[in-house]
Amino acid sequence: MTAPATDAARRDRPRGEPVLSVRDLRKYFPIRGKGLIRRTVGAVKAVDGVSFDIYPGEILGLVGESGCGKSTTGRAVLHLQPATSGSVMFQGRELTALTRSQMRPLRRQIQIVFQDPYASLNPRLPVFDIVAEPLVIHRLARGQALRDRVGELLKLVGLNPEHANRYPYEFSGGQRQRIGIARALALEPKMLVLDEPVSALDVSIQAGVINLLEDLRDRLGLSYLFIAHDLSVVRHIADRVAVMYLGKIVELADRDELFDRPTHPYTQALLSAIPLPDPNRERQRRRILLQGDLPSPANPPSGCRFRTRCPKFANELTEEQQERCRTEEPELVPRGGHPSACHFAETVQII
Amino acid sequence: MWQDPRVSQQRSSMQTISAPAVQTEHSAGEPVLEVTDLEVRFPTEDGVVNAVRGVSYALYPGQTLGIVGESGSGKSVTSLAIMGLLPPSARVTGSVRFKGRELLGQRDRQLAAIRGKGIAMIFQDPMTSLNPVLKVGFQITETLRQHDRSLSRKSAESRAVDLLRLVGIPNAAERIGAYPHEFSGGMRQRVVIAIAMANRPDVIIADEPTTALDVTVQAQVLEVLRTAQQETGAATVLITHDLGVVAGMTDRVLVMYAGRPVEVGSVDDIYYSPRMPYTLGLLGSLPRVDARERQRLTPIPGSPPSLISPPPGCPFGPRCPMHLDQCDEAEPPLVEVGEDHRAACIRSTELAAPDVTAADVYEVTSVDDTLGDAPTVLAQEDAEAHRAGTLTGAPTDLAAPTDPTAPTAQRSTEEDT
Amino acid sequence: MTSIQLDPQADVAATTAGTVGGEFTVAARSQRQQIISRFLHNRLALGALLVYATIVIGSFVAPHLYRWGYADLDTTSLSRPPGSPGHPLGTADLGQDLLAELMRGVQRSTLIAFVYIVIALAIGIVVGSVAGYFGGWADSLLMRLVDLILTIPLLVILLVLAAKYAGGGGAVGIAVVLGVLGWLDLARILRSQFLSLREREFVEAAHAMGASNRRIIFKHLIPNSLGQIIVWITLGAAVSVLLEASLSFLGFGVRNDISLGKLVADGVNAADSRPWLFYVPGLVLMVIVMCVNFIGDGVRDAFDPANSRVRA
Repeated sequence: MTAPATDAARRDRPRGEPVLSVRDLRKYFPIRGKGLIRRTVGAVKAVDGVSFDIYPGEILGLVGESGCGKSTTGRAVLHLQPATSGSVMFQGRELTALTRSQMRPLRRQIQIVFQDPYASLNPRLPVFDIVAEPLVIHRLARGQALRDRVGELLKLVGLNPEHANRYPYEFSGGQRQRIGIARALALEPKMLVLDEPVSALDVSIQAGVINLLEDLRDRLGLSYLFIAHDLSVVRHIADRVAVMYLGKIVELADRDELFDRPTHPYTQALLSAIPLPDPNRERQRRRILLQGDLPSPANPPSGCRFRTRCPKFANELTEEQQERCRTEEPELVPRGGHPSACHFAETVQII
Repeated sequence: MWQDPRVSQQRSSMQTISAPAVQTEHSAGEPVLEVTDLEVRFPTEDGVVNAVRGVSYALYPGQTLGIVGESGSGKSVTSLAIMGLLPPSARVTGSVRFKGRELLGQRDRQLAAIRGKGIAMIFQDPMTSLNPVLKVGFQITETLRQHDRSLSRKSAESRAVDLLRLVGIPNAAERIGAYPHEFSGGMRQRVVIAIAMANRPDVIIADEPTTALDVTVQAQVLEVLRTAQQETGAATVLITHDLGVVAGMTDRVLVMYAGRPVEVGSVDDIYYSPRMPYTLGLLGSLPRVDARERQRLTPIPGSPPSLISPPPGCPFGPRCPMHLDQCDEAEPPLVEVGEDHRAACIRSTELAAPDVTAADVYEVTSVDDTLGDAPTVLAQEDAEAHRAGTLTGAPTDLAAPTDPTAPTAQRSTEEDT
Repeated sequence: MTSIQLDPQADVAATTAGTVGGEFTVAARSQRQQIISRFLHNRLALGALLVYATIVIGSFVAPHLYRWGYADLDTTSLSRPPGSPGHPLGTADLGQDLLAELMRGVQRSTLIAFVYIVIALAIGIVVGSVAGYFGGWADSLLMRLVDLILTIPLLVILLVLAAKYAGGGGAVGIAVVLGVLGWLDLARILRSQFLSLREREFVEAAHAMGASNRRIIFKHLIPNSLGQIIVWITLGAAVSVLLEASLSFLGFGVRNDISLGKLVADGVNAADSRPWLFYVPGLVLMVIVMCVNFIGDGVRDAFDPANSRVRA
């Protein structure tokens, strides 16, 4: 299989050293028993061995359904929730071992934007204080310089600087999200973790925020870890995409490669499930429907985690092949052009 | 056709709006559900919120109508009004006729006979319609026996198992003994659909039935909804903000903005030749998973208008790239723009040219610097909170309103005194 | 591509900006304005506030204009009923002017309420914040302490402490004793409030910015708990007046001064023969406590309308 020229060019493009390098990241949440002592009786393996790199100026989309561990990955990368094991190298520094005070100067470099624009802004503070807070915490500006900087930031995210004395409730959801973005940009970070930044917004407003995020990447040379469940948004904005299922990345590829030539059955099912705003296409589509529910992340299936719901496992594989899925965990290694964690990875065109 | 006297006065002035907006080629026979000039107002501290301002449509047997709109457009309030599930403080006028029978102004007991048996409703959050302390099997048999007293417990139970099997719940015979919390979100929504189809209703109203679900689960649930439609032959109203879901599920689409329909037509008309700038903008602002190359999205600037004393002109005017001074004079009526296709815009003919795209009309921008009046959207949220309260019999969401930091959740939740 | 003639006037930003200030949009009100407006619409609470303010301000201002001081003895008129010349509310056995005594009593009760609230607030906020924000063993320890104190009847501890430490019988001493014990409910309220607030995204955002714990507590958590704190303050004022009265009544309260509780206690014996000495201070005490309670209810409803009972 030969990749088209564009993809080849994309891959060959010198990307330099990664800004962020995550290796075998794990985050387990202990399950405590009942009773006085509350012994640990097990662990929810929210993130169970995730590795990826993000290069300067690159947007990596991390997609998956609820409970796949994508948000936990984002929090662990930011050291908001300490990782259980694994390594997070940011600009050549290992983050997982840092204490809170050691982490503080690094917070200037890597920031987060949250999903819910109603919950992520303190309702008691005017917008000025919200955007100025990181500058005040890190003692980067005060007085007139602080006022100028906040004005600049508001303008940067497409808001009117004159509205700085207003309170969050006076803004629409999209505008609040912009305030959150301005706050994240105040420290001039190299990288943003965007945790479902547009999924709480109405579509007409979502588009403006997506455009803004694209512009900011181009103007400021930012890198994004873009966490989302909406594959349409990810296809629109990301350069590379990682698909997560039950705490693991199952497929990782350049954007067009992943959407045009998915090889993992889960990615294929996910893509086929997205409704298209196009009645004719929608009528002609054949959906791959998954069976059953997401297994418990406390007790994932042996071998391939997806096998319990995998249509390929159920319908196409021989007894022998199924045995392999049950016993041998598929590695995320290049198969058919890009990394895919399926023993029987095979390109299927879905869209 | 018989006309409701309350409606006829307004007809003279707003004729184009009052005529049943939705008709279809297979409009054989009488509409099973006919909504005419439905208006809903909520009194609040800040004034009266005009949540729905004149919705009319006719739903024919077997038809699927999609109602699309963003938050605060009044799409959910419309269906709650039809079902008589709004809080007592809401003032509802207009006419809702189910099989020729007027539903508005009916007593709750009479409505209860129609709910479930005639019109069934599926909500976004299945937990609001399932009783958490009762086994799902009991909840289904109860629904069955409520409308058919002669049904024996035994046969009701076997029918419940059939229904659960039909909606794709594995081991249905054992699962009827399970409680709602023992099911996943998608499975619960299947149970809700099973209950909705239990009495073979003539109309199913599904209000954002898959919004809370993951995309693969959404695909399963939509499939189940299709099965339910086929099994019962029910006409369906599908309310959603997701233009993708509407494209695949519906025959006709009604686009709502600021409490009013602004465009109605067949699904193809709406998607391939929208004649209202708002519809065009909505389609242009959607990122597409099937897009070959990266195209800039076209956001619609601004935010929806206040539903408390809305401006006299077109409610979309302030956000509309094609806005003229004329637009502010009067609210444009919903007029015929094509066969079976209506739009509420005085410049809709300009959009009739082939291949008009959102990018031609909208400025591709990433700026959003005008302050609207955010509280408008809240009326809707409050209505939803009320709905949750109405259905479970519990007070409205206790967690949010007791929190003084969430001023938004508190507006207009008080009962009328 | 089709091009559409766009109206050059149709500058969307300009149009919307025009409507914002226009007459047809309802201006969004700030949260503070909403709370104040809700309070002002609550007639009962507003009336109570007026009555209470009149009583308190009057008790501080009027003594300067009034002929009798609280310690003065008018030996010419002993045990006169209300309405006697020169003594509108009558006099007590030794010729003390009842109105002057009442004003002094209200002053003392107000002072007690103030000191009590300041002390209890300080302890309650610290304990509640630490337990709610840090959680873990600090939370367990502090909350078990609260539980422990709550198992002992408050009055018993008060009696013991008052007898031991407020020996001078001064109002401030009593207030301190009350304050040291009166923070329990505030600490619990704040703890549960902080427990839910600390999970909110804006707190996580503050962490992500590198904010210190102190900053998060003072800048983000306490301002968002202000409603609860204010409600507690108003209700706390009523509680302190009642507790002081109970203590004084039992003889462990204010001794070498005058307080409302002491006036009532002294009046009990005279309830049959000289009823005004009991009923007048009792009435004032009741009015004050009722007013404060109504104000407290009004404040709570203003902060939290969804939880309010049916309004008049």
